[in-house]
This record gives sequence, C-alpha cells and structure tokens, in this order.
Amino acid sequence: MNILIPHNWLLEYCPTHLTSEEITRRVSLCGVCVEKVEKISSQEVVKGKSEYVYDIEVTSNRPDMLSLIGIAREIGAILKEKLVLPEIPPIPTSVSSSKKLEIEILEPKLCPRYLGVLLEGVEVGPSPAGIASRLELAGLRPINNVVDITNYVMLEYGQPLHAFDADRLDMQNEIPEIIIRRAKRGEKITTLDDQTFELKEDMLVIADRKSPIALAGIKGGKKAEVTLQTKRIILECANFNPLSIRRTSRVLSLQTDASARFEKGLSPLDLETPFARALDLLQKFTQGKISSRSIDVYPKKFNPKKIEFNPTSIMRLLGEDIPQSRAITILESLGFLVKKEKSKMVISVPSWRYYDVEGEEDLVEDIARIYGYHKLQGKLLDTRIPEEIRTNEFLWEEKSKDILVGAGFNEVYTYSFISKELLAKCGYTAKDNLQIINPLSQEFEYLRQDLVPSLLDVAKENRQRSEEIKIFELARIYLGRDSVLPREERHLAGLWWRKRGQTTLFYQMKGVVENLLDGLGVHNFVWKKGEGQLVVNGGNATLNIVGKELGFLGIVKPTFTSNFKLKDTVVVFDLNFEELLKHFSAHKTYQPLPKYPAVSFDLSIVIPEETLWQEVESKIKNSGRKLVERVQFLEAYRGKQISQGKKGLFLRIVYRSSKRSLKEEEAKVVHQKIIHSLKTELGTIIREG
Amino acid sequence: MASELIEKLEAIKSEALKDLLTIQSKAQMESFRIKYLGRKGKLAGALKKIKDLPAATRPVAGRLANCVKRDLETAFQDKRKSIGGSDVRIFIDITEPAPKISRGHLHLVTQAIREIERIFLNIGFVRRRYPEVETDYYAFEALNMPPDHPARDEWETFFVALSSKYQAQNKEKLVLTPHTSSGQVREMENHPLPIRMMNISKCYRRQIDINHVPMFHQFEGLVVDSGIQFVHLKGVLGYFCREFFGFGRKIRLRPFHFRFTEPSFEVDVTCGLCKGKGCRYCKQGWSELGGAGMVHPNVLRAGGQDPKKVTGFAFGWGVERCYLMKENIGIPDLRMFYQNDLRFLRQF
Repeated sequence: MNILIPHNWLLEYCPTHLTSEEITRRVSLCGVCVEKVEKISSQEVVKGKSEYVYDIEVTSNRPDMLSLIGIAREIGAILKEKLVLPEIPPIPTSVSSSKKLEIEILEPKLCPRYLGVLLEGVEVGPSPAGIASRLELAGLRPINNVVDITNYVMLEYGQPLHAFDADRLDMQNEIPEIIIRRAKRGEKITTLDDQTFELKEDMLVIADRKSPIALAGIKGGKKAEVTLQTKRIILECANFNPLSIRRTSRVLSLQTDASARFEKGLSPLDLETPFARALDLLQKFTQGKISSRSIDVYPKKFNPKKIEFNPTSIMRLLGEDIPQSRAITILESLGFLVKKEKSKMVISVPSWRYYDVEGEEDLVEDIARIYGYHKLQGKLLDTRIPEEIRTNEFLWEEKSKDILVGAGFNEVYTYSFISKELLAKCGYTAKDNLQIINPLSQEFEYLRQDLVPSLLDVAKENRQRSEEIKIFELARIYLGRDSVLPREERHLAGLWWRKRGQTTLFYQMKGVVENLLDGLGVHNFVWKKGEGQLVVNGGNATLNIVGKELGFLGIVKPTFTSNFKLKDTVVVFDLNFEELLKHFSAHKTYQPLPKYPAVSFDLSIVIPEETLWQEVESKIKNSGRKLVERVQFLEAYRGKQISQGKKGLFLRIVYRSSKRSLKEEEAKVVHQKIIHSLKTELGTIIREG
Repeated sequence: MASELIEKLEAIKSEALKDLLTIQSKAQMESFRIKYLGRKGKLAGALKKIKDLPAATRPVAGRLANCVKRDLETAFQDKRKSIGGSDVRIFIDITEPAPKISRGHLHLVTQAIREIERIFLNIGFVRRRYPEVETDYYAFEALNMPPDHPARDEWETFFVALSSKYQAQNKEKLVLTPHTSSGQVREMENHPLPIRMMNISKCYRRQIDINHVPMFHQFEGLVVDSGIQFVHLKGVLGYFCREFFGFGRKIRLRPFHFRFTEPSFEVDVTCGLCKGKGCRYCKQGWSELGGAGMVHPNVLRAGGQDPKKVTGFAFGWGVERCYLMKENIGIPDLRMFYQNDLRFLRQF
C-alpha cells in the first residue's frame, strides 16, 4: 500500500535542509521506498514554498509507516535528524463525574481496547485551511472540521479515529451508550456513503442500544453521522483484531483507509497519544468542550514487547561487523529502548512495532537497512558444497528439446489450464480433470491431463499463416485423484501438419520420434498397433518398452482436426517423459569395425497391402541367418503396375561375414534361399530388379 | 663452337627461368611455352645446332641440352600447377535466395532458463523440481504466513478443488504454487545440509494484462547451512547479475518485507531502456528484479532446522521478467510469451 506524504508537513516532524530530491535518494535504499515525487502546482503551495508530495510504498508489516510521524521517524533515523513530535496538553481529568457516556465491550478478543469521550458545544463547519489543504495533498477529501480532524490525526499517527453524533443515538435516560458487539443475524447497516450491507454474525459492529452505528474499524454508519447540525460528538479511538477486520472487509468488499491500517495489525498500546491529540485539535477548531470522563475500556492489558538481543547476531547473520554503538543509536532512533545487561541487551519494542518485531532477526534487519545494505560487501559462498552433482533429468530435457529443434520443430509453451470447450473439441469431458476453484475465466477452468489438445489449438491459431506447422512441448500433466496431491507427470508431445499433407507424414513423424529415441539412447522399443482417443482407427502406433506402453504416434481423427479448422493430415506424438527417462542412456560401448567387405543385393517384391514390413524383415533375417547383416527398406510403392490390394517393396539385403571375405556366389546362394522362403511362406511375387 | 653453344644454352635457361617468375596468367604461360619450349622456340633452335658440332663435343652438348630442356619443362609444369587449371568461368547469382533449411526454435523461456541455470550451476547449485499443485501448508503456512494473513494478498492465488474423497475430510487446501518458494520447506525436509539448490518452475497467479500472465516461471535459490550470511546472498546475487546482465548494468538492494525472509530486500537493476536515467517503464531509472533475504527462523524451524545453529538465504525471481530486462528485446506484452504465434517464436 502506498501513502502520500507532503514535503512541508513532513518537515514539521523531521526538520532538515535537504531538498526533496536528496531526501528521496538517501532514504529509498534504507527502507522508505519513494516511488514518485510529485511537484504541486502553485495554487496549492503553502507559505510560498514549493510543495512536493512523496508517493511511498509501505510494506504490509509496517502499518505504523502509513503515517506522517512513522515516515518522519524512519527518515530521521536515516538522516540522523531528531524527531519533533506535536505538543499535546494532557487530557483534562477535572470533568464532572456525572455519568454522561457509557462504553461496553462485549467482544474483548475482537476489540481489545476502546477509548471514548463526549464533547459538547461542537460547531461543525469547514476545517481551517491548513488542515484541509494538507488532507488534500495527502489524497483525502475534506468534509468538515470534525471528520477532518479525525483523519488528520490518522495521517499523523496512523491510528484511525471516528466521531459519532451523540444525539442521533438511541438512548435511555439520555445517556449515550456505545456497545462493541458482534452483528445479529439479519442486521443491516447503511454506511456513510449510503451503501447498505446485510451483516453476518461474525462481524464486529459499534452499536447503540438498538442498532449498529458503525462497522468496527472499517466505516461509520449513516445513523450517527456528524453533520452541520451536530452539537455533541463521541470521539472513538479504539483497537480491533486485525483478522476480524480483514475478514469483514473482504466479505463486504469494503476497503477503507481505516480497515487497511487495522488489518495490518495496530497495537492497543499508547492509544492515549492520538486520542489526546484529536481532543486537543477538536477543542481548538470546533469549540467543543469535553463533557464526560474520558473512558478507557481495556479489559486485558497488553504489555510492551521485550526482546533479548545478542549483539553477536549482527555478525552471525550479516557477515559484517557494524559497531555496537552505531547499532544502538539506530535502534534508539527508531524508538526502541536499549538496556544493556552483561553480554546481552534487552530491547523494548515501541508500541507501533508491536505486531511487526518478533525476534533478533527483525532487529538485525533494522540495523542493517538503516546502516545501509549498500555498505555491506558481498562475497561468494565459501561454505560446504552439496555432495550431489547435477541431476541428469534436466540434461535429458535439454537434449530432447535440442534434437527436436534440430529436426525443425518449434518449441511452444501453452498454459497448464484447459477449458471444457477445448476438451470437448477432442472428445473429452472434464470429469477427471482437476478443477480451479477461482479461475480467471472459463478458458482457465481445469488442469490438463493431455498436451495434445493444447498443441492442436496452437496449430489452429497458426494455420492461416503457415504452409507447415511443426511444434512440440515438454510440460507436466496433472493426474489422479487418489492422493491429496495429484501426480504430476512430464510429457513430451509433438504435432506436424502440412498443407496437402498425406499419410506419408506419419512415417516422417515416426522418423522424428525414432531419431529422438536414438539420440536419447533408447533402442529397445517396439511399435505396436494401438487405439487411442485422439487418433484415427488404424493410424496409431504405441511405443512399447519392456512391455510398458510409454507413448503413441498417430494421425488425428478427421472429426477432431476439423474442430480445429485444420484440413489435411495432422500427425501427433505424445511420450510419457517421466517413464521414458528411466530408459535414457548416455552409455556407449565400442563396437569393432567390420574387417571384411559386405555384399549386397537389391530386391523388389510385391506383397499383400496388409503384410507388415516387420514380417518381411524377420522372414529375411530368419532364413538368411547369420550372414544377413541388415535389411534396408528403400521404398514402398503402389500404382498402376501393382494390382489392387497389394504393395511393392524395394529393399536391400546386406550380407557380411565377420570371419572372412564373403564371396558373391556364396551370398547369392543365401539370397536365393531367402527369395524362396518369401515366395512360399509370405506369398510374395518377386519383381526382377 | 661447342663452348659457344653451351653458353647459349645456359643463357636460354637463365632467361627462361627469370621470365617464368613474372608470369601471372594462363595466356602468359602459353606464350612462354611457345617462346622457349615450342617447336620453333629458342631451345629447339639451339638444339638444332648440335648436329653441326664436331662429333667429339656433340655428346657433352647433347647431355647439357637435355638437362636444360628437362629443367625448363619441370619448372614450367610446376608453375602451371600453381597458376591453376583451366580458365573456365561460371556464373552464379549469389543473391538468389537459398532453399530454407527447416530449423526449429527453442522457446524464449527455455533459452532464459538455460542461461540462468548455467550461471548457478557454476557456483555449485543443484537443480530441483517440486510440485506445481501444492498444499496450502507448503505454499504459505510453512513460509511463515498463517491462514488469513494479509501478506497472502500479495499473491493472487489460484485454488484447486480437492477430489470429493478429501473434500469430506476438509483437511488441506490445494493451490497452484504462486511462487517457487513452496519448495523451500520440502527441500529442507528431504535433503541433508548443506543445501544449495535452485528450483526453476512454473508459477501461477490470478492476473492477466500486458505485464502479467496467469502462468509464468520463477527461479528460486535456497542455501542453508551453518555460517550462511547476508554478505553471501549479496555476493551470489551480484555474481548472477553480472553474469546475466553484463558489466554495464548496476544493481541495488532495496529493503523490503517478506514473511519468509528476515532481513529482506528487493533487487533493482538499472533500466536497460533509459540506461538508468528514468523512463516510463521503470521507477526512476531502476527496474525491479525480485525479492531475496535471509531465511526466516520460522521457515527454518518448519524445515526441521535450528535457527540458532543454522542460517540460510533465499531468492525467487521471475524468469520472463529478468529476461526482458536483460535483452531489451522490446516485447511489449508479456502475454505474447504464451500465445505461441509461430511468427513470434521463430524470431528467437
């Protein structure tokens, strides 16, 4: 949260001759983060001096810095300037003791302390110019002298205050009663800005005998609003439980200057100071007279925090020795009380840091930042090195990506989210997907279990400006609902589409995947015919390693491709990277180079369309035995010269002996034997080639 | 007679060798050949005269003549090799477009991650992976952010529905990790000291505009051991920034507050666009990189460590954000990273 601090108002508490530019430069590195300095145009200029307003970011642990004095104290500590606080006369005690105001806290946990007093003879009107213009510079709209004074004191001290019109309360015996209680079921309140809220029973309200007059610590109610007719006011200076304020403010979507401060944790200690300050200003500028005893309901006293501080912690945590005297000066300038006890110190935490400072580390931080982080000398780690070395899995990720990029594929990063609509385009429902409770939109409603739909979507977006799309992604999918956390599994998926692409694209993609597997040292895989949700019947191959299915490669069903406005063949693959990792190997062993030359013969055959290459290959190897080194696929062809239902295969058989130079005649004998078995056992027709 | 001829042969030889040195083209080679070695050349002319010599001197002169001829021919052949083969000319339109070789591109995020990973590997960090769908405990509570703590507002967190089975028990809330810090306590639970790890991973926040995407990447560093100090953190971050941004850019540590570190700060780098002068893309010449600090004692305790004996530091920064600040690549809208327009991806 940011606060606006007018320069000349700041100087009142922290007199310095530095220019606003110098102040900005010096304090920003020490914990007062000035994001902007705005120069104010002449009409609002006070006393002929030029006026600047600092826009300062305040972190959530420091609500005390959402105030002029809080900022002045920090700046003073950094610039080594003494803090000048307003002089406040003590609250008069010699007021008639007759009962004029009653205050009762029914929820001491939610409201640890409540200070209230009644003022009479108040003349409501515009604020003095000085107060009004300061409020405006600080970003608040002046309303009337009473309201403005409560806001002025809030800006000074960071403690929100409120004033009620005492005569608008429901009363008995003309004694106004303030009751701090939870809202009743169905109770409503209309706030100062005319919004009406229905309250829940866990919300804290300030009420009179009958109904709520304020949402505690958030906003005042219309009922007891201070108006020009107001004559008697009750001034409230209270403390509320931060969580309760935060919850109510969230549930009602009502954030105010008061709630923003209370929810960050203000201390119930030392409420007297802002209370007295407000009373003083109200008496000066509204003619109001204190007419009741000042009431302080404080059921359970809070004690100031004390922390044992061992000065060696400075060295232990920072690695640089800041002189103890300097450290003490810094702490004292920030309001800490330092008491030395032998080797230790006992530090009293100032009231305004009650929730923020918890231990030694907080003190070290304060010392270090005021001293200046920039003065500490950085050094590289000179401590023990972990025993493990780099995990291979990230190397394999790199390698896989590099191979695919080398094959002309572009890496994409799609969102881990998926929509019902995208799932439906691939024939899925969302029933197994993890659901986001608070998605940004329907587009981001579920977590995906499959990368392919996202790739299809990328292809769809790019189709009109591309002749060809080759993409891949390596990302996690989110599976399983059988434990609290889902199983996150890395998958590697790819997509290839080309204008007027044919089924041959399948083989090209197969080449890409096999090249990938080869590069990763996976050789023991088998392709099997498979079925899949996304792929067309017969156009799917599953990747199997030691009996386990670890992925697939296939042609996407035309109904789905048309859902993505893609014409022509789309081939995809999807590999379970998590499982596949177990089979990756960088291990290589030397294979002796062949000593003797090889003999090879080409062969052209015609076989039934549905006879698999695998069958032909193994038939050749089986009948050729040891002499067949390899069977090389050259081409498959169909056409006029091949009859319907058949296909031609053009292949090469390479013969080699590891023991001697193979004679051509010898190889021919084996070759003939192979031809014979192909003819008789596979019904092959040999075309002379 | 004989001595005269011998002298002449010597003269022809030295003249020819001198000539040969000046030759630069094929054409000159040819005229040299005609002048000295041709049928009507100087050498042939001299040779013809041998037969007119007295028989006694003929063999000596003949041997010398052959010697000269052989030497000149050798020299001529050598020269020819050095001048090159035939004078054939071809024409290539060197401006004609070449066939495109299909080259793929690594996504920008991968490129950035690799660069970051390498820098930290050099100083002994081990890379880890942790869940993206995480319990509220590891994402917040163990990081010193109790339920309903206002500090949680800084993360626009996505919540994930539990399966019905666990909903009934209402035990845990699930979130999509809003930061990589959710790996910190898991790391301390699972690994012995010394810890020096990095976690580079996807993070999720409920924001989408030109500066925010609901899914982005962070890199986290966590170092825990006895004797880890603030100056180490400053040194490691300084080293990273120098390697990543180069010498020309400065960094500063600006005190800040995070629940899971104490002391805490944010690191700013001089804006690469205005070179630190101040522009509308930065805060007075500085761009914010991310947060860092000494691990909070409560976080150390959550990880089973004794804060009196062990200290640590941590940082978690945005990958995309840092990369944009490094390169000044001028990408105007962070969402473009995840729109996967191939025309965009192919630029990198």
